[in-house]
Amino acid sequence: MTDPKELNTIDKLFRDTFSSLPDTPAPDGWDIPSERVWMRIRREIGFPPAATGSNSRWMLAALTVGMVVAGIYWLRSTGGDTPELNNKASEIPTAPRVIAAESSDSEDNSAEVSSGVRSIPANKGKEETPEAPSGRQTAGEDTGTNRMKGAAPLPGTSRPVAPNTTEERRAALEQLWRTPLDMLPVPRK
Amino acid sequence: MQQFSDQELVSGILRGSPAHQLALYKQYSVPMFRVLLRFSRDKSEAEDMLQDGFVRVYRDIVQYRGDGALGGWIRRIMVNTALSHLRKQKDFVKDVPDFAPYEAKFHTDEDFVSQLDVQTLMGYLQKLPPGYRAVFNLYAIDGYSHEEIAEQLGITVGTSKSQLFKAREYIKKIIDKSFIPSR
Repeated sequence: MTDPKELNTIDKLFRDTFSSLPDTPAPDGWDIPSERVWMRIRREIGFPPAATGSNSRWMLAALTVGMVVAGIYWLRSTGGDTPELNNKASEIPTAPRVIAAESSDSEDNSAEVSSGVRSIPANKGKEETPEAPSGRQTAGEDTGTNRMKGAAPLPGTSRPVAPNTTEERRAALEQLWRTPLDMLPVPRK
Repeated sequence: MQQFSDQELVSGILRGSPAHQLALYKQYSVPMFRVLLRFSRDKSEAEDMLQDGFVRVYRDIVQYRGDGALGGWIRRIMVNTALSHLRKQKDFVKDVPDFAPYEAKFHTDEDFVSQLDVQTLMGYLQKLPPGYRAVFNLYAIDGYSHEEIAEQLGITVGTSKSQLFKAREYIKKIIDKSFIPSR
């Protein structure tokens, strides 16, 4: 029979060796299970991949970025129209536009008056707004004026056509230029 | 990787959080794999045991009551899984036919023995027949008594003692064979 002390030495050797292992895996990886173990566990239990959460977050972020880029692209591609529309809404149109609008508007008006029913275009009132004297009229003032002028007439009533003040002013200015100026008084010596 | 407390891990897994499921595996796979390598004949068998063990851990984690360390609870599951794997082997807890008690004096130099690294000792354990390996692991390293081993393996206390004795003889023989005396 072997000496019990000797046997205890073997037990102790194994016990001490295996109980004093560091928490970190060995550098050569002998105590690291292969990746497929976790994959098989996940498949057997039916876990979703742990990375799915972060993947979906990345996909959501990419989708958001894509939508933002598409939005910016759309704004730029339609940029020639949109800012102008915005300007039309906030600023008073310049005289040539008003003239152009009125020339077509007068035709519309004549047709609409004859039929007795008139639909209200979205910015009709603004087109009919006379040019502000200073050119700096506020939007609020403009809106209030337009709302009154652009109000839809009652059925069966004719809508009065707004006077073309621009043309009147232009004619008045031309007349003014044609009028020769008075001679300046000669200072007495 | 983010470190979670045992309670956080358990509650996260019960909520179905993939991050906690993975964190539990990352936190305990290496120490449990070391345990299972001792009980198995090679790395492949240890990986099979690890897989089955963790599947049981995830399925039964609702039964963990937090009255002890989670690591200890997982370790018990892993050891039980390893033993059930070993019990399935046909030569489990049977004497090796050509086994004879190692009569020669264990003459290996103590310095030589003390320099044996963990991988070498692991290799010795993996060369043992499954019954010897199971009893030696449980008794010499994990600290179970013969009564507990007999209950766990479904054998008698006498068989457990006999298996332990033969396991020691076997290990001595292997160590002596690998010992090259210095001149």
